[in-house]
Order: sequence, then structure tokens, then C-alpha cells
Amino acid sequence: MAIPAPSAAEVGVAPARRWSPLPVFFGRRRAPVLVIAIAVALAAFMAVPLFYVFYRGLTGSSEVWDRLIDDRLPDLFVSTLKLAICVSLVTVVVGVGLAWLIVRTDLPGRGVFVWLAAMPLSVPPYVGALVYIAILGPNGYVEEWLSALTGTRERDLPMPEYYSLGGTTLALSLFTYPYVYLMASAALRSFNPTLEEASAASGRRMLSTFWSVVLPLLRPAIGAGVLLVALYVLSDFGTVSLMRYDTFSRAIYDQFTSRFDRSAASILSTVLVLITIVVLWGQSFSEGRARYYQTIGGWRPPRPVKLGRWRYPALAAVVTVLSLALFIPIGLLVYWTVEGLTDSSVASDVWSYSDDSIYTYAWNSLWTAAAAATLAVLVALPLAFLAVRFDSPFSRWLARLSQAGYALPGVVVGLSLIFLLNNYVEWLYGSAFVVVLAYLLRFYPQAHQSTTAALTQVSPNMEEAARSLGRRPERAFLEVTVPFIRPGLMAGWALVFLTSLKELPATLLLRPAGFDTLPVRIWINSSEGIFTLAAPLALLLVLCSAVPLYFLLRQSRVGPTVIT
Amino acid sequence: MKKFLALAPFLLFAVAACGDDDDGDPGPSGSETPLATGTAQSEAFDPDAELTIYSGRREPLFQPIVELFEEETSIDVSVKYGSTTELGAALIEEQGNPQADLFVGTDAASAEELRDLGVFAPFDSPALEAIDARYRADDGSWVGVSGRARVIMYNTELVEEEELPVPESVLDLVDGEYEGEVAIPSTLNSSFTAWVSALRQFLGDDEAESYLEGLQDNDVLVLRDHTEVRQAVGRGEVAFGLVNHYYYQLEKEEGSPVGVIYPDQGDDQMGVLVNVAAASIVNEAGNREAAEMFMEFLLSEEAQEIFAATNFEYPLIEGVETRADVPLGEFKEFDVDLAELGRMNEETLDLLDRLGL
Repeated sequence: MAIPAPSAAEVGVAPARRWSPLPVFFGRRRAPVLVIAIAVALAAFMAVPLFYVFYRGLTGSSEVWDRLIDDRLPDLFVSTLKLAICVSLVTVVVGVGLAWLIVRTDLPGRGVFVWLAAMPLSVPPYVGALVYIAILGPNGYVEEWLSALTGTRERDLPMPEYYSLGGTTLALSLFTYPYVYLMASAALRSFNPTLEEASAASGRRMLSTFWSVVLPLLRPAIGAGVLLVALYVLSDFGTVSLMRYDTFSRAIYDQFTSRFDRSAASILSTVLVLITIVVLWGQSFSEGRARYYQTIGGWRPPRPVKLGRWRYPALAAVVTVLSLALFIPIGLLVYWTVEGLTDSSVASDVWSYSDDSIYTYAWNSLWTAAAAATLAVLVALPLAFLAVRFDSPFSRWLARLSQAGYALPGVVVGLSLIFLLNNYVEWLYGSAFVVVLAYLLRFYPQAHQSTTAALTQVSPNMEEAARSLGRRPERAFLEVTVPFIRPGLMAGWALVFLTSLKELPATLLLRPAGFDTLPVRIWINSSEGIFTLAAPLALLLVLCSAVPLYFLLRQSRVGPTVIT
Repeated sequence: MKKFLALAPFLLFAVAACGDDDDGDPGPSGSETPLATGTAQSEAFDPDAELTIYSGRREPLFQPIVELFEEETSIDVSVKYGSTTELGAALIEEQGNPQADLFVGTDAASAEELRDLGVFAPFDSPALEAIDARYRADDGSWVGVSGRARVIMYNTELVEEEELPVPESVLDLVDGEYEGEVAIPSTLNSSFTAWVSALRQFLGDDEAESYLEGLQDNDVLVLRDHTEVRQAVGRGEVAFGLVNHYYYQLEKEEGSPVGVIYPDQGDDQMGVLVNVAAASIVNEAGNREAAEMFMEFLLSEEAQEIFAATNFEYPLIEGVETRADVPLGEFKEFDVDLAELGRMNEETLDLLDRLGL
């Protein structure tokens, strides 16, 4: 995922003020009309679901509004925010801690940890939640073991309740902290160490330097990472449902599916989207206020901090986090898979359940994710081209509009597409392409951000040279610039692919009959309480996610701004 | 745009790395065609040949029947599994653009509510006469295909260890001694909602509400669905669970120490609510012919045998025996019009929402 980077769009040279408002709004250099037309159409298309949600919500019956305001909204508001805040705090501590230890200290094995610490992103949080239910839940492995050890019955053990705010925070944090980690480590890598050295020279101890120098400089990166975490928490459906924790996303799904009245779901969706927009706005606001400058001159790779006697405790901390977020979940999935395969009564079901086999689900997942990723990159090109090369308030507005998906959690995208398509585009509904469309709408911002970021780094000189030789602007762009930004495009592709692959709620709502993806099957099998059947699917999903993630991490070494 | 073919190698790489059974062109252009969707649209061009079913019944219980039907008729069936209410909601939105031909839900009350919204088409067939009129809609727009009783299941070991008296009525569960010992499914579950409607009918609204509040004060454990409830009881997380009778049977078959109570059998007591899993033909179904065939197949002895054998349910036609411990007819049933429960659904959900259950 990418953040709304203060790219050229924000920092670009402001058009000269004239008395006429038009050039100010459209920029002084006129973009080709065809590009404008395409970009306007695409941006409008991407923003339709957002406006439709508002329309449905605001025209919802006032009776239902009243009922929800009385019975549900206050509680949901509190519980959703509590979760978002708790997960944000935990991910900041874990993510920044890991990033600092791995990037800036002489921690043993950090060459490997640099990769491993990001890999939990390939484990969908709902899979992680399932694993931890089996471990920490009632009558789970821990209780079983303690009970055997102490001779107490499982139910008499004084275990903390796992189905709680704490348990949900744990499940979500373990698999989302990489957002913060990736942001923080990219920032740490580009750090100029002179400030830290100055701090050390003036007598500050290591910890105090960290607090008063490193952390403030990391603030923008942490903010960006936390934004992604918070957006994830707001949109999460699978984990909170498994953990029986009430948030807006879950309540929307429940309202839509438990009573045959859709106005409650629409209203809750509107409120959730508003909350998401406030979070996005809050982040850009806080980003806009504080400014820390580093001098580029005199930059050199920082000398690693010597951990001394803290070396091994630090190593233990890193290994613990990785065990919880990676080794234990994957180990248990492997264990269940093997158990399922060696149990003859289950083994055949593992490979093929009903008419469809595990390969069908994998193929469905892969091609929909790939199609969405490809479309996202294609859509991103004209919009990014316009935003970067013809910067103006107008192109900035278009870019923002096209990224409406940021504010649309999966449940909401699913609902709005169901409403929209059935009312206005009937023929499209009921095919797997609707699932692709949902991925595209939801995850497009990632492609947009990577493309814009890559484009900003390419000087327009060569494009201009091509134009002076007679190429039209859009051809010059395609033939000269696009080859340069291919890594950025591929990063965007991989991001959209990765997140689409893991998508659950919209797929659940929109899949046509007989079309199940890996996440959907994991969901169905886990609701049967059969872990041995869900595990091989989950394992396959993790492996498939690891491939684009690995690619992204490799990319990020070249251009750290592109990732996440 | 040719430049985008440069992305293809990576795509190929991703697909290959995940061990796909390359039965299609994995290039981006090929993968976008709807034809790649697998079972649904690829083989048959004749729309009449395929039957689309939305099933609120769980896959392991329903798939054997689907497969038998496919075998006997060579009609392709594709099924979307989900919860009864989830699929019901989809059916409502898809009115005028119906995707499903047939709907199989887990309770009659929600089927009646959907009928009221005009989602279903009436259905008439000689096969219907085999089903007691209590268990189907007058116009055949929903037809019960198997029966289930609302019972209390309990963990026999736990009841003994904790010296808990076995309750004779569901109303006993609000007593202090059962504090923290009862599990129920969430209101996402339509059979639970129907049961609450039945309670409202028997007790009156006020008393039903204070009963539910009593359950809440008694720390009732609200779980996602019946499977979670039966597992919680089976492994001794709680002593009692409110379920459909076959969940008790399934848990018992897995070897858990569980027993069952068919509660409220006294003369002035409520009796046991018997609900039905109902099948309906969707209004303007694209393949009504096949839907009717499937409907009649569900009422055939073969299909009824499967419901009875795999899932311990009550077959609704003569001549097929149940495998349940307590057969239909050997306990007092709650005397109710199932359609009436459907009409109470909305208010029941409001009540449950208000209570936060």
C-alpha cells in the first residue's frame, strides 16, 4: 500500500496567479484533451461507489437512523476506535522497535531479519486469528497443555479471555505491524547520522537519543505506517468476526445479512466511510504541520549502534515477534495440513471438495487478483501522467477522486456494487468480473501512489526531447517515460495483486455461484470448525502472497519510497 | 500500450509459483475473459442446462444431494453457500436480475419473510401432497424439506461434576445456578430468531424480553453459529447449548459426552419448536424447469434418506426413518403457524438489536 505522498502534486510549482480563474484551476500547460477525457472518465468511475454509499445512507429512513443512533452507533463508535487505537499503538512499538534494531544496530542476523520482519504481511490477519484461536482460545493448545501440567480442568484455568479487545488487538497487530516496520526502516535507512552523533557527542545516552532525536525524525514515516494500519483495522471483517469483536465493518455485514432491510447497512456504511475520511484527513493534517529537515550534504551510511550487553535480549525480542507473527502460524498451518493429509477421511476433501478442487480456488484467486492489478496499473497511467506532468488543482482533484477506494472498506465496496449493479448495470452482475471490479475500486490507490511516486522521480527532460522531435505528449510519455518507471508500475501491480489475493468480505458478497476464491474457502471451512480443511488453503494463500511480497521488498531496496 | 506486455513475465512467474494447473492462458488478456470463471459459464452455452442454487444449508450436508441430482439428471448444478440470511439478502437485491434458480434455507420464518417480499415464485406439484401442510407455504413458494427441533444439549460430564440439575424448560436457564453455563448462536442465525419469535408468541412480548434479559444477566455466551455452540458444549466450555437437535447428534457422533433435552413437555408448557429447512423457487428463475426438478428431487425418498442419514434430521415424507434419538411425534411440539413466525421476524430482530444480543 502506498500513502498519499506529498509528491509533485503537492510540492510542484504553483501556477502563476492571474486574474482569470481558469488557468489557475487547469494549469498553464494544457494537457492533451484525450488524456483529460480518459482521466475524467476513470476518476468518475472510481468514485461512483463512494457517492452511492452516501446517497443510500443519507436517503435512508429516519426511523432507522434513530434506531441506530439509540442502539448501535455509540457502542460501535467506541469499540471500533478502541481497537484502532490499540492496534496502532502496538504496531508502532513493534514496528519501530524492529526497524531500529534491524537497520541501525549490530543485531546478529539482521541481514535475514530485514526480510523476515516484513513477511507477516503475507499472512492474512483472519488466518492469523484462526491460528491463535486454536492456540489461545478456550480449550486451545495452551489451555490443554496447562491443564495436563496442573491437573486442573481447562475451564477452571485462570486464563485471560481471548475473545476480547486484547486478543483482537494481538491478532491484528501481529500481521499488520509490517506496514509501520517498512515505513520506519525505509526512513531510517535514508537517515543522516550526524544528528544522532551530535546528540551522542553532547552526552545523551542511547535511549535518550532515540527518544529525542530519532523518533521525532521518524514521525512522518510512523504516521504513514499507522495510517495504513488504522485503515486496515477499519476495513477488517474476517478477524473481528472470528474474534467476536464488534466494529463497523462487522456490524454492516451483520445488518445486511441478518435482516432483510438494507437501510441499516447503508447507514452504518455511510458512518464508517465518514470515519475513514476523518482518519485520512487527520493524517494529512498532522503531516502538514510538523516539518523536520535533514541536510543532504555530508550524508553517509550511518554507523551501526553497538548494542553491547543488550545484543542478546534484543535478539530474543526480535525472534519472539517473528515467532508469533510468522513461525508459529505457518508451523501450525503446516502441521494441520500434514495431519489432514495423513487422515484418510479428510485427505480427499483437502484436494477437492465438491466439484471444485483446491486448484480451482487458487486459480480463481490468482486470475482475479492479476486482472485487478493489471487494470489498476492501466488506470493509474493516465491519471498519474496528468497529475505529475500537468499539475493543477484540477488534476489533483481528479487524482484524489480516483482514490476513493481508500475510504471504502471491503464490506462497503461489496454492498455498493450489489446495489449499484443490480439497479443500473444488471448484465455485469453475477460474473466473476464483478469481483475484479471490487478489487480494482478498493486497491487502486496503491497503484496510483506507486506510479505517481515513480513518475515524480523521472525528469521530464527526455519526454520533452521526444516531443521536440515531433512526438505527441502521450506518445512521448508511453515510449520514453514508461520504460523508466516500469519498476514503479510493477511495484504497484504487485501491491494490488497481493492485497486482492487476500481480500475476503467483498468477495464473499459478490462471488457468483460456483466461484470461490482461497479466502472464501478458508472462511467457509473455518466456519465448519475444520482446521485441517482450512489449513492447506491458508498455506497456499500465504505462499502465493509471499511471491509478490518478496518482489516488492526487493524493489524497495532500490527505491524505498515505492513500497507500502 | 504494447509496453504492458512487459508485465506478463512477472504474471507468469506468480502464477507458476503457485502451482496452478495451467488450464488457461495466464497472460493478462486471457485472464480477464469471463470464460475463465471455471464451472459456471464455461462448458454449457445452453442456459437451460445449468441450475444455480443458493444454499443456506451447510456444504457437507447439502453437497451429497447435489451430486446425486447431477448424476441422475446430468444437469450441471452450481451452488453458492452462505448463511440463510446472507443469501436471502442477496436474493432481495437481485430481484429483477435473478441469479439463482433455487434457494434452500434453514428455516421457515425467514422463507416466509422473503416470500412476503416477492422473492419467490409459487410452486405446485403432486409431490407437495406428501408434505404436511404445516410445513409448507400455502402457495408452495416455500416447502419444508426436512424438520429440526429446538432442543437443549448439554455436556453430561460437566453437569455431573458441577452438580447442575438438568433443566426441564428453557425458561429455567435464567436461574442463577446456570450462570455462565449456557451458549446460544447469534441473531445472524435465522433458526434462533424464529425460536425467539415463538417465545414471544407463547410468553408475550414483555415476558419474552425479560427472559432474554435474564439470559444476558446470566452471562449467556453468544457464539457465531450452531457449530460453535455444539463444539463449546462438546468440549466443556459451557454445560448447555440451545441448538437444533441434529447438532447434538453430530456432536455425539464425534464422541463428545453430550446429552439432549426436549424441553417444556408439561401440559401448560410451550413444547418444542419444530422448524423446517425450506426450499423455494426464485421468482423469474432463469431455469425454472430444472429448479422444479430439483424441488421434486428434494422431496423424493432418496434425498430424504440423505437428510436423515447424514444429518439426523426429521424426514418429512412417510416411509423414511429418522436417525435422531427422539423421533418426531414422540414429544410435544409447539403449536405454531411457521408463516406467522416469519411475519414476526422484523420485530424480533429489533428486540434482539435493542438488547444487543
